[in-house]
This record gives sequence, C-alpha cells and structure tokens, in this order.
Amino acid sequence: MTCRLKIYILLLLAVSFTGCIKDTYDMSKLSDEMHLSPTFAIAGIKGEVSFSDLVKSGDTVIFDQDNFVRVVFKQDSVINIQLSDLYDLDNMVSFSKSYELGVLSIGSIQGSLNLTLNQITQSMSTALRNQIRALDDGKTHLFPPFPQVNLGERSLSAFQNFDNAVFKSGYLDVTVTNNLTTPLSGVNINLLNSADRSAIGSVAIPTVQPGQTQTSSLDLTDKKLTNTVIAAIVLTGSSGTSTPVTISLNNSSISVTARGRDLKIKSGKILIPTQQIASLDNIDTISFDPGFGIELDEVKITTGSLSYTINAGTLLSASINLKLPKVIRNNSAVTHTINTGSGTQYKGKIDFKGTLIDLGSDITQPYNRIPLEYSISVGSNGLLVNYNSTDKIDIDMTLEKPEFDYVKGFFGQESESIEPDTLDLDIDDILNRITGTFLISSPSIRLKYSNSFAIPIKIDFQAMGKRGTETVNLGLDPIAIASPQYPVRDVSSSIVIDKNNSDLPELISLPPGKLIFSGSANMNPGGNNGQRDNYVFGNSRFLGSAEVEIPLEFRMNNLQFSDTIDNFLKVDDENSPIKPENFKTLELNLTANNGFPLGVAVKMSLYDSGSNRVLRTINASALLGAAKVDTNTGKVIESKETTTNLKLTKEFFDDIRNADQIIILFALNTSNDGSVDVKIYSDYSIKFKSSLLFRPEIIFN
Amino acid sequence: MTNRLKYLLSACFTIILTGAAAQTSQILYYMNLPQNHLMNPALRPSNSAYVGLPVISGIYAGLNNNFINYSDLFHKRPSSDSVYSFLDSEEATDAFLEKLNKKNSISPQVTLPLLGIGFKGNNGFYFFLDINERFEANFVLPGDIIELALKGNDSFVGDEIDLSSFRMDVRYYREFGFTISKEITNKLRVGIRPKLLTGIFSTRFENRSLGIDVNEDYSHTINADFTANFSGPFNVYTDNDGNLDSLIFDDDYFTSFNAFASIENRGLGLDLGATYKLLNDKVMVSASLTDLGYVRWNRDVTNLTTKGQFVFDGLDMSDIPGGDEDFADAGDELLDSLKNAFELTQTYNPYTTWLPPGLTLGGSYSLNKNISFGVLSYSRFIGKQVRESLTLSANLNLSNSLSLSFGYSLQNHRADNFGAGLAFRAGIFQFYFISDRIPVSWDKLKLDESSTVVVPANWNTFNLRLGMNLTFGNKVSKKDDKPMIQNEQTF
Repeated sequence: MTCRLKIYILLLLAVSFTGCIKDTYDMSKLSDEMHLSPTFAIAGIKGEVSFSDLVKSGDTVIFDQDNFVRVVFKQDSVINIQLSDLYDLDNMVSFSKSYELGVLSIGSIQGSLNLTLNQITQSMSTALRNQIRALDDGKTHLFPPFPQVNLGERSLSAFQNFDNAVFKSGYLDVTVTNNLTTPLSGVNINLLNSADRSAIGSVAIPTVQPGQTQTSSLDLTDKKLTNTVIAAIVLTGSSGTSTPVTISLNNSSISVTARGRDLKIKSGKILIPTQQIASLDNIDTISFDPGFGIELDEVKITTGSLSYTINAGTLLSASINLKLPKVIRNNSAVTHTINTGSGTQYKGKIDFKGTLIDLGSDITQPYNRIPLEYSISVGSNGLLVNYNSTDKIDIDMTLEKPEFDYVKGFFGQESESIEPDTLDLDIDDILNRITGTFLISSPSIRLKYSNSFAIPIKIDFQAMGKRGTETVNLGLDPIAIASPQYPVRDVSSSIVIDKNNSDLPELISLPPGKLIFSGSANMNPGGNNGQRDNYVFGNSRFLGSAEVEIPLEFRMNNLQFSDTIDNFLKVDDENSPIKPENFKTLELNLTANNGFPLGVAVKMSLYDSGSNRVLRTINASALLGAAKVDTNTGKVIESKETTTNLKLTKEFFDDIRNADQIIILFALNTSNDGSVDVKIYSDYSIKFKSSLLFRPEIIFN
Repeated sequence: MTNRLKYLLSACFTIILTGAAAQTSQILYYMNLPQNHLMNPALRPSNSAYVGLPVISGIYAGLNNNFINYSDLFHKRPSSDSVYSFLDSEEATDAFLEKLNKKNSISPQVTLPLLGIGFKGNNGFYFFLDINERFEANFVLPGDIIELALKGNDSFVGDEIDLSSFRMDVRYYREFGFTISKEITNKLRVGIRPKLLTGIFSTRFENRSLGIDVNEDYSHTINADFTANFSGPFNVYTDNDGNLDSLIFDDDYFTSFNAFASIENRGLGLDLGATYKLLNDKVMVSASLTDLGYVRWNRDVTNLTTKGQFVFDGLDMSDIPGGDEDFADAGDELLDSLKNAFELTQTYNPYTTWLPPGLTLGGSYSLNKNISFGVLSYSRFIGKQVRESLTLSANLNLSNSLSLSFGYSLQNHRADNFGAGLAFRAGIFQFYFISDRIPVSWDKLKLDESSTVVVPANWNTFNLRLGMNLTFGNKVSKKDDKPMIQNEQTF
C-alpha cells in the first residue's frame, strides 16, 4: 500500500512539474520594430555674454574710458622709403682724366777728343810733315804755314747718362781749343751719330789763335743724338807764325768738345731728372651726377673716400699732388699726394671723412661741381729709361658709397604715380545676398608718418568704391606732406581721412566689392626757386603706419543676408541610430535679454531644388530684439527681452529628407528700425537661456 | 465568519501585492527535513540524528524579482504567430511600464552548507550545529528610473524623479549556528539558535535621499544623500583632487585563504521559535523570529559618502564666445560643479549591516498521521521594506521515508505560485528537492528551425533547495517522540 502510494505521488509530481505549454514564441519572427520614443525636457544652454567677453580689448579693439568700442586696424611700416629708394648718391662722382707728359728737360751732355800735332801732321803732305817734324828739336822756330788739312773722322768720347734722344729743342755747342803754337785759320766739323752715321750737323769754327778756343753751336731741334758722335774735322789751314815758337809734335794739340745744353727731348733713352710736368695747367673739375634735374649744392660726408686708380703709361715714376680746395676738413682743403713708383697701376683712396663739399663754387654752374688742383712730377730715378713725350698718366676717381650727414640742393620735381589699381575684395557673391541699408558713421583712416626728407611733397590720393553699378568716390583733396626745415632733420605728422575731408563713411558703408585706387606724389611742387634748399640726410627715410579706425557707431535698417546652402541636417549615414527624420518633435525655447541695440531675425527654409519648392520654413522673426537707445547719444538705456519658441514637428523632420538645400535668411535691425545711429559699448551684454523638449525615435536594429 | 475571512484574505492579498517578494522556502516548513529548523529552531526532523555534508547536504538558491517576466518583454500578436517586444510600439512600452512597481527589486540568495549536524538529546532536547555560507543581495530599482529611460523625463516636469528607493545591498558571510530545541511540555516546544557570523564581503548603499526634481523651466535639481559602504575586495581609486576615480573589484582578493578565514568582520545572530499544539494535537501553531542579528564590518572598509544638491539649469556658455573656454571646457566645468556638489568623502569607518529579520507565523491541521494542511505567513523586513508571503500547503509525510508537500503562495506580486517539495530516504541517505514556485505554464521559444527552448511563461520567482542528508535513527519511537501534530514523520 505504502509503495503504491509513493508511486502515485511521484507520478503526480512528475505531471505537475511538467506543467503545460502555454504558448510558442517563434523568435525568428520577432518583429524588427524596436524603438524608443522618450521625451526629454532639459535645460539647454545659458549664459550672460558681454561685448567684452566676446571681444577682448587690445591693439585692434579699443575700449574707451566710457567703454565705447572702437576698432582700430594698425599696420606699421606700410611705407618705408629709404634714401637709396629715391636717389642714387653712391656713384655720382666719376672722374677720369689722362695727362700726357710731353717734352721733358734733361741735363747737359758732353763729348770730346784731342789731336796732337804729330797726329795732325800725319794728315799733311810728307814734305810738310817732315818739315814740321824737323822743327821739333826743343828750339824755337817759325811755325811754317800749312794749307787745309783734312783730319778725317774722329770719335768723340761718349755722352754720359745718355743713350739717344730726339730733341724738341736744345743746342750742341762744339768748341775747338787750339793748343798749337800756330794759329788756325778755321776748323770745319761735321758731326755724325756713330751708330747709324746719321748726320747731326756741321759747324765752322773761325780762326783760333794759339791757346784760344772758338765755339760754334748746333741746333738740335728735332735732331736725333746718340751717345757716341763722330766728328769729321777739316783744318782750313794756318798762316804760321811770324815769331819763333816752340814746335813740339807731342806736346801741342787741338781739342774738340761737343756739349749739349737747354735740351728738351721728345723721346729717347736717357736719364731724366725729376721735374714737374710743365705742360699741364694743374687745374681741373670734378663733376657730380646725382640724377636728372638734381642740383647739389653742398654735401657733408660722414665717412667715405674718393677712390682713385692711376694707370701710368710711362716708365718714369710720378708724384701726383692733388688738392681739393672746396673739400674742407677742419678748415683746410683736402690734399693728397700719390707716388706711383715704377709700377703701371696704382690704387689708393683719399679720405673724405668729415668733409664738407662745396659744389657751388663754379659761378658758371654753381652746383654739382668741385674744383681740383693738381701737379705731376716725373723722373727716371737716375736710370736710363725710354721715354716718349706721348707717355700718359691716367687718373680715375670715384666716390663710392659715402655716408652723408646731409646733402643740400634741389632734388628735382620727381612725380611718382600711384598706378591705378583695383582691389577686388571678392565679396560680390556675399554682397549680392545683402539688402538693406547700413552705415558706419565715423570711420577714419590715419596715416602716421615720420619724414626726414626736407623736400616738399604733395600727394593726391583717390579711391573709388564700387558695388555693382553703384560707385562712391573718396573725394579727398591733395594733401601736403610735412617736411623738416633744416636744421630740423625729422618731422612726424599724420594724414587723417575721415568724414570731414572725404566721403569715407559712404564709401565703407556701400560696402564696396571693389576698391579702385589711383594717385600721385609730387616733389617740389613749387618748382626750382634757385635756393637749392632741399635736404636729405644720410638716414633720411619716410616711415608711415596706417591706422584704420572704425568707431562702432552705425545704423542698420533691415540689413538682410540670405544664403542657400546644402542641407546639412540630412544624415546620409544609413547606420546612424539617430537621424533627424527620426525626431518626432523638437522644441526649442530661447529667452534672451538683449542689451545690444541690434535685433536679429532668422528664417530657415527647407528647399527642394528639384521641384523648386520651399518645403517647410522656420521663422524666428524676433530671435533677438534691439535694445532701446537714447536717440541723442545712441546708447542703450533699456534692454529688450524676447522669447522664441521653435517647434520642429515630425513633418519638418520628414521634409529634411526631401530637401537638398536650406535657405537661411538673417535680418538685422538696429534700434528704432535703423533710423538713428547706435553705439556699441563694451559693457553691453546679452543674457540667454534655452531649454529643449525633444522626442527622438531611437530605432534598434 | 465568511466575510471576516474575505476581509482577512483581501488584506493579506493587499499586503502581498503591494509588498515585495518573500524569500526562503515556504514549502520546506512543513516537510520532515532537518533543514526546516533554519526557519524555526523549534522544528526538528523525526530522525534522531543527521549529518549534512559540505555543499551536497543542501544548496539553496533563490532569485526574486518583482517586476519583470519573460512575458513582460515579449508578446505574441493576436492575429499572427509573430512576436513583438515591449519596444515594438508606444503602447507596448506603456504596457510594460504599467506593470512596473514603485520599487522594483531583484534579490538573489544562495546558501551553501559547510557542515550540518543534528541529534536528539535526552529530556526532549534536540541539538543542531550548522555552518553555512550565505550570500544575499538586494537590489531595488526605482520605477521612475525605468520610466525615465523608456519614456524620458517629460512626464516628470513639475514633479520629482524619485530614486530614494534605490538600494544595493550585497553581503556574503558565514554563519555558525547552534540550535537547541526543548520540549517544554507535551504541547509546547521552543527553540533557540544563537549564531556567530563572520563577514567575508559586503556592500551597502545607504540611501538617505536621492531624487531629481524636474522643474517647469526644464531645469533639474538633483538631491543626493547617501553612503556606499564597501568591505572586501573593492579598491577605491581617487584622483589628485581626492575625487573618486574608479572602483575596481579585486579579482585576486579571494585567492588568499585569509579572505575566507578572517574573523575580523564579526557578528551575532539569533533565531527564536516555538510550536504549540491545540485541539488534541490536531492543530499546531508555530511562530519564529529569525535572522535577528548583525555583522560588524571591520576589514578592508571604505565608506563613500556624499550629500549635496546640484541644479542644472543649462550649460553655461558665458565664457565660450570670448574664447576663454570651449564646449569641452564648459562640459568639464559642469562636471566639476556636479562633482563638487556631490563631493565624495572617503572614510574607512567600520559599519554594521543588520540581517533582514524574518517573522514566521504558521498553523497546520493534521488530517491524519500522514496528511496535514498548513498555512504559513512569512514576513521579511528589509530596511523599510516588508516582503510578505502567504503559503497554503498540503503535506504528506509517510513515516520518515517520504515527505511530500504542495503549496500555493501569494508572493512577489503574484498569485500563481505553486510549489512543491519532495524528500525521500534510501537507507541513511535522504534526498530532497524543494521549490516554492514551479512553473505551471511554459512557453516554447523557437529560436530557429532546429532549436527550441522551453521557458516558464511567468517566472519572476525562482528558488530551489536540494541536497542530500545522512540521517540516522530513522525508526520512529511512538512512545517517546510524539509529533507535535499527528503527522509524526514530519515533526
């Protein structure tokens, strides 16, 4: 019984535990529709932002003491004109002269010979010779007369320090000394150069008494003379003596001497004593060429030198003395001596440091000139040298890169043109989307400059703004640039372009798509008054910095900007769990308390370019309301609170899929619908607070 | 009488359905098993001695949740065989949310015996010595947070997202229990079970206040006042500012013997119970108060406390337009503010966790010596929560060789809990299997053409106790050991 009961109970338990199948879930047919659509309400963003939070004060944005905001764009060194940019004063001196040495003097030269009676008698007839020889007995005899005796050619001793020369002028004195005891009735001498036996000339010596000398001169002009001369001597005879004389064959003779004097040579090989070239006038002029129309009157050089190059076209050594009487240093004229030595080229410098150069001493041209005084001495230094009167000494001088303290003069009437140029701001596309009016009330452009060119300059600057067919000219009159008056060397000033002297506000507020510039700068617009009172200094420069100042005082009347952009809300990523079209609703609440005198409206439209249809529009027509301003001062006196509720519905999100573009329109209005100027102060602020209510549809795949 | 009974039953139903899930095995109470002394120390088996071996003598596992079922997540369309989830439509989600409670709890429990010894003494004494490993957890998820996740916060505008019921208590401790039961009279038996507890690890989330006010302007005010206590394998890392950076569970903690053998986390517990027989022993009433006690956690303790309020009324963009900050900075600033508002204070103070006391009230009527019917009320007090269950059972005890019990329980917000218990003996080996909730209806989940899984159609309560005892002295002495009710094998 007990066992059976146990079995029954076990069976009952088994059945109970097994239970029954209530339902069958085919999970392979589980719906893919799994999504959540929670609705979330959250606070969005909030904050209080003042202008000074948005934009920090600095060099560009300046907050005045009363917090008024000005925007200043500064650009240093927009103009940086150095002296070298305008004038080339580095190589304005170029002096090149060639000096011919011409005829030079040389010292006297001398050659001689001696003929004894014995030698003379050898040219006599035998009888006469025997007769005379017989009388040489130590006793006195009457010297017998003798007829003409041709002694033949006899060489004179060689000239010392002389090889040969062609003479411009000079004489050769031929002297015969009769040391015979009988008079000579005359002597004819014909001189020949021994080298080529060229004739030098002949002299006839008149009667020469015993113990006496007779001289006859030979003009050497254009004659050539070598150092060895042959004399062809003919004794015209002797009358003999009337009283007995001692006749000695060996102790009595005649001598012939040839001696040059007053010799000026044209060429030759000779020893030339040191001498100053007399053929030069020793005065010259160094000219300056600073440029067309520039007349320099005075230059003060800080450092620099006159470089010279001497090219010696002679074998003579030279000594050149230069004097610049109008180049003064320490109250003295600058002088310089150049000794060339025996070289062919010699270079050197004349120091011009601390010199004052007067370029106006020439009354015929009282500018760009300085006088030069010079002398040249040459010599052969005791040596035989070849020389020709056409030998030259060339002198080249340059004044290279001197540093000026100042340059005074007249610097011409240069006219630099600002070539017409068009600055395309490439904002036409943007401008085409802007409508409405916009005026910046008081912009200004200030060109600050520092000028150390003491030259009157006038600038004529023109600009034209162009937007489409509409143009506005700047309308600025020519402006004179301030220049220093010597001894003042630098002057600082500025040029201001603003609404008082131009139409700048209208030009900027156009706003222009293109800016067309043109103009010119004229130096010495009054011409040359002969005073030559322009100055430039060694460090002269014109430095300019530009400063564009835009005080934030403006007005806008329904200034609208519209743009069409690709639909950025469309999500192409198919795998994205959250897509815009999956939002069932999105509600944005924005509360703003606007302390700025600027209202903003935004309109956004979903646009299908295929069907050319606006599908859906969100209009936040009063996103920000403009704060109330004092119409006299343009300053905000009361902030404006606006509340915007933007509700994006499921239909909007659905249309996102169908729109390929979004048209966005911004509209801006200053207070009082843009009828008064409003001012922006740095302490203006906007408080904003937003909240979001959104209901996404989160789809789980 | 009938009306009074109706009112009584209605009240019981109300308590149960508004309360939370009960725990432990209700069915066990009236079965002839040594383990029922764990529910009432005055209860004892019919055999004179038993030995419970480690683990195999009785594993208890329970998991209760009071808010989610398989059938809550998936539904069949009436018109077709297709299946849809609770996220299929707004209506399905709403239907899912409607079933949620204000407090949605999940409570896993595991008990593993390390040793069990019981034996009958002289003069009506019975003694038990038990060593059990007990793991208990209780997670309470506020219904508002689930609604917030699924429906958003729109419906809370002007109201509060109440998270004050959020709880997360986990504890793992060892229980050394010594039970003495004594026949005071022929009708009255009392039992007492003092327990020595040693904690192994625990976390306790003391939620004093937690909520989010969603204001009319969509700003949110977050209030938080709580302390999270950790003892055991939890490493808390802070950043340079001392803020909590991360909390890492230390996997290596249990590799050391010391983690289990340490007695630094000490506690005491007490179970009290009594039975009384009436009406010529046909009726027995019983009562017990269990798990009175605490564990003092001293070892590797970290307390993270915060108290603050944070108002989020928008991401402050004030400094972004000027470039002083970017969005990331603003986000960081917001997080910093949040962090500062709820600055965590890290301390290392020992803390105490109280055991959730259980109050059991039972009554049974013995039809004859083998069959009895019982009613059992079990109330468990977890903090401010009371989890109530009521079980009606029919019990069969044949000698001490077979014990069978069928039960019907109102618990865990459901009235379809059928349970059963079976114990039978083969020689000295006594096997048992008990579950308070046996699914009576099942669903087939056809995953694909070839595989099908059968799952309970409604099964938000799971508990199971099974094991094997070594029993001795199974011969019933009618003379000396009269059962408290006529079912001698049971008591």
